[in-house]
Amino acid sequence: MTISGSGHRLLRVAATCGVGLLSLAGVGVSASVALAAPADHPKAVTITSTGLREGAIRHVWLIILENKSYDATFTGLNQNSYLWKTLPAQGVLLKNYYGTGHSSMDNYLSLVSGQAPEEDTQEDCSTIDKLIGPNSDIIDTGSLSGNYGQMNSPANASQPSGANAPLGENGCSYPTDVPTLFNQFNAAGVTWKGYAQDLGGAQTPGSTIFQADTVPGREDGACGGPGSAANNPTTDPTDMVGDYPPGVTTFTAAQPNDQFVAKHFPFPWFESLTGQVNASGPNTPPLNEPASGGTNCDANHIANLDSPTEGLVHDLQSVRTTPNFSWITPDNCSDAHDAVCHGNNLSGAFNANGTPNYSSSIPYDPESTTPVNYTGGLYASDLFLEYYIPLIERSPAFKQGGLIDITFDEGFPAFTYTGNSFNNANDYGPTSSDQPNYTASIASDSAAENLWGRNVHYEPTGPNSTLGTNAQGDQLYPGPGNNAFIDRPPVCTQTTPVLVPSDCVPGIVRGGSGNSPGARTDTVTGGSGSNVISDNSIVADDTGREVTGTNIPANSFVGAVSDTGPDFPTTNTGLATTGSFQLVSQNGSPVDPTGPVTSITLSAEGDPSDLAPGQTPDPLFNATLPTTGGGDTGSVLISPFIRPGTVSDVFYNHYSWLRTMEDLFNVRAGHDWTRLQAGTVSGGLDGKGHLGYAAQPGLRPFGPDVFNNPRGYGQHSGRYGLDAFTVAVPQPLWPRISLAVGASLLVLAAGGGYLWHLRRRRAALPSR
Amino acid sequence: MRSLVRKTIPARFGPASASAAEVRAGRVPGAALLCTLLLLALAGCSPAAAHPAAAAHARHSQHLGGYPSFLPRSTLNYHSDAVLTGTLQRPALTNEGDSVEVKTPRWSVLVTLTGPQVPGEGLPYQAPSTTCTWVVTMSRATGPVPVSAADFTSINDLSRVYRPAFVPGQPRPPAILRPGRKISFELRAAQAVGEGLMRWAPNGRNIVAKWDFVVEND
Repeated sequence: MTISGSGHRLLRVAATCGVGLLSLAGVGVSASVALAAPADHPKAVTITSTGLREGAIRHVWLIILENKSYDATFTGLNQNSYLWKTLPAQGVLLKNYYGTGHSSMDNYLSLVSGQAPEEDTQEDCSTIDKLIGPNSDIIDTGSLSGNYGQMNSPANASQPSGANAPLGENGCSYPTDVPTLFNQFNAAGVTWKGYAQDLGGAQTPGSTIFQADTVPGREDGACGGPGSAANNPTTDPTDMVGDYPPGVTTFTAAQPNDQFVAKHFPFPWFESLTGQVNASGPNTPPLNEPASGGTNCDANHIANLDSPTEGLVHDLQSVRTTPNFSWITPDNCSDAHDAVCHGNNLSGAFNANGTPNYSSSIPYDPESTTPVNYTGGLYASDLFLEYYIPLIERSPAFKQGGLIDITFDEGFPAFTYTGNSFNNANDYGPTSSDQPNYTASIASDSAAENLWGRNVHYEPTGPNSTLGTNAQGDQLYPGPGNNAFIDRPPVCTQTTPVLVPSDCVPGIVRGGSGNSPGARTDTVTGGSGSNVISDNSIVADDTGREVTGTNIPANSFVGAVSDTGPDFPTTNTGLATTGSFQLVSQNGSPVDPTGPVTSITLSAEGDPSDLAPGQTPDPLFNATLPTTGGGDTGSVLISPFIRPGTVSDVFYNHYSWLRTMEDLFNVRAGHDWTRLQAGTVSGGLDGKGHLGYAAQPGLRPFGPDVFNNPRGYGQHSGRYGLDAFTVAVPQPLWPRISLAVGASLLVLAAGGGYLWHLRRRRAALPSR
Repeated sequence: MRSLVRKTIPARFGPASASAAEVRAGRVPGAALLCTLLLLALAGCSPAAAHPAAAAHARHSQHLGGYPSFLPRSTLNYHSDAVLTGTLQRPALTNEGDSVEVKTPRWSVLVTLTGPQVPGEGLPYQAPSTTCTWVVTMSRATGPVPVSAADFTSINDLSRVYRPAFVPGQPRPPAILRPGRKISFELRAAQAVGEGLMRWAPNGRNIVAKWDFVVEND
C-alpha cells in the first residue's frame, strides 16, 4: 500500500503538475498566439521602400510651417533653437527636403493629392475660388505616361503656349474625381482629422475668451473654405479680392481676430472631400466619406486646433480618440509666416522659466492667454512647437507607433531682402553664401527628389507649369517656382512694329515675378559724424542703389546693409527688425552726410544689361534661369522608429512625402477601386496606391535613412496590423499571461493543498 | 469655455505617469509579469484580481503620460529662450545673442554677448582671418562687478586662444559695474574664420559663461 499509496501520490503530483504544465503550456500557447499577427489583420508584409513593417506607424502628426529655407531654419542663422537644435536631437533631420513650388498653396495641394502647381494655386488663390475644370479635364486617363492624372486647366487653351493661363483664369479647386490622401484613408479605414488654429473661432487680441465664428463668412465654406456657407467653386465662387462680408478684411492673410488662412489648409480645395454643388441644383457627393461615419467636413474631421471637444489636446487623451493621421495647420502667426503677428503668438502661454504653462488656469488653450509680445517668424513657430509637441510626445498614441513630422511648405531666401521675416535678419549682414541677388532666388526655387536611388535636382511639371524659353533664351513660363523672389522682363503691350516696352518678352507668363523697383523714398535718421543711416525699410538687395537727399553728398550709394533683430514688438503694428546701412562713395569708401538726414531717395533699378539713365542694376533681375521647384526647407521627423539625432542627405519633396504616407498606411489595401478619370482611390495611378506625381516610377519615399530604427523603441514589432476602428488600443498581452499564470498557480496551490490535506489525514489515521 | 475645458481635459503630467506609459509601451515586461504574479498569488488568484490592472490601464489611457524613454532627456522640458545661469562651479554655455545670469558668491549680473561683426564679407578674396567685433551688455548687477577686457578670451575650433581688447576710439566702460547701471561695450580681436567660443572669467581665472559663435567672411 505504501508503494501503492506512493504511487497514487506520485500520480496525483504528476497529474497536478500536468495540469499546471498544461496551464503553463496554455500560457505559452496564449503568448505565442498573441505574438502572431491577429487573424483579422492582413499578414504583415515588409514595405521595402520605407523599411518598416505594415502597421508599424500607426499615428502621424504633420505640422506644416511656412516659408523658410533650410539655411534659415537649421543652420543657426536664426534664433529658433527649439526647431534648430532640440527637435533634430530627438529625431532625424532631412537636410534635403524640398517644396514643390511657390507660393504656399500649391505645396499644400501637392502634399495631399500629387497635383502639380498651377498659376492660381501658385498665387494662393488670390483672385477667385472657382473650379479648375470638370472631371473630363483630368488628363491621360488611367495612364502613367506623362501626365499622372494631372488636372489640365481649360483656360490654357486660350494661351499661345496652350499652358499656364494668367492668374485668375485657371481656378483653384479640384473636381470630385481628383482624389486626395484623405479619400484613400477613408477607403482603407484609416482615421484622420484636419486641425487648424483659429479655424471657426479665436481669441481676439486682448481677450482670453474664445469666440466661435469670430468673423462670420470668412471660412464658413465646406471644410473651412473661404467665404460663406453659400459659397462653392462651381455655382457661387468666392471673390477673394473684394466684396468681403462685414468684418472680413482678407481671405488670404491673417487679421487680428482670425489668423486662419484657408490657403494653408488643403481640405476645402478638393470636391472629392467637400462634394460639389451642381449648376442644376443637386449635389454631387464627395468621392467617399469616412468609414467610421460622419462626413469629411464634420467636426470629427475638420476642427479648431484648440477646441475643447474636438481639438488636438482633447483627442490626444487616449489612443481611441486619436486619429491615425492628424494634419495640423498653425495659424499665420504660429506657422512662422508673419514677422509681426496680427493676433496671439502664444508668448503668454509660458511660465517665467520658459516652460509651457499647462496649468488648469490655462486649460490647454494657449490662445486664452495674453501675449507678452507680437513677434512672429520662427520665434512664434518655436513657441507653437514648444507648446504642442511635448503634448503629442506624451500622448499614449505617440508611444504606439507615433510619427511627428515638422516640415515647411516652401523655401525662402535665407536673409532679409524682402523684409517678410525678422528671423532672416542677422547681426553681421549677408554673406556670400546668402547673396541678396537672383542666385539666391533661384536656389530658393530649386527642385529635388530621389528617382531610382539617385538624388536629382528635378521635379515633374504638369500641364499648367510648362517650362520653356524663346529663341533668345528668355523664360516664358513661371515654372513650379512661379518666378518667386526674382524680377523678370515685362509683358509686351505691343509687339509690332516694335516692342513696347522695349525690354518686354512676347508671350511671357510672369507668374509671381516682380518688377525692377522704381525710385523709393525712405524716412531715416542720420547726420554728420556717422556714415551709418538708420533706415527700417532698408533690405539687403538695396545695396548699390544711389542715395540722394538733403545733406547727402553727390555720388553716394547704399553700402553694407544691416537688418538686426529680432525685436519684440509689443503691439501688432510694431517693428520686428531695425535696419541701417552704410553710406558709401562710388569707390566704396564711407561717406558722412553733411548734416541731419531725415529722408532719402533711392534710385530706380533696372535690367543690368539695359540700364536707363539714373537707374542702378537690379540684383534680382534675371530673364533666363528657370525656377524649377519650391526650394530646400528641411524637415524633422520624430518617432520610436527613428534614432534620435540622426541626419539624412537623401533628396525628398512633397511628392515623396505623399508616397510615404500612402505606403505607411497601406492605402492600396483600401476597398475603393472604382474607376475614376485617372486611376482609382485605393490603387492610385499605379495600382500601388500612389496619387498624382507620387506615382512616379522609382520615386523614393522616406526610406531606411529616415526610419533608421525599424524595430522601434518600445514597440511590439509586427504584432499590430493597422485597424483604426478596432485596434485603437492594442489588446494587452500581460493580462492574458497573468490570468493564465494565475490559473496555473491556482491549480498548483489547490493540488498542493489537497496533497498536504491527504498527508495530514494519513498522519492522523492509526497505524496499522 | 475655460471651465468646460477644465472638466473635459484633466491635467496629468506628473512624473508618476511616465512609468505607466512605459508599461503600456512594453518597456518593463519583466516587472509587470512579476507584479502581476505576486498580485494574483496574494489575491488568491481570483479572476476578479485582473480587473484593477485593466481598470488602471483604461484609466491611464484617458490621460497623457510621461515622455517616451527613447527621447534624450536633455531635450525635454527645455526652453530655448530661457536665460541660463552661469556660476564658478557650472559655467553656462549658450549661443551668441543669448543672455546669461552670472552668479558669484558676492554678486550676480545679466550678461549678453553678440557678434562677431566682421568687415568685408563676400569679397572676391576672403582672408583666413578677419577683424571680429563683439558687443557685451551687462545689467542687473547686485554688487560691484569687475569689468575688464582681459577677462574675456576667445578660443577657436583649433584651440587657438585670442585675447580681445576694447575697441579703440570707443568710450571705455567703467572698471566696476555698480548696481542699477547698465553698460554696453565692444571687444575686438583678429580671429580665424570658423567656429569660436567667447569665454568670460570675471576673476581672471574661472570661466562663468561661454558663448558659441561662427566667424564668417564669405
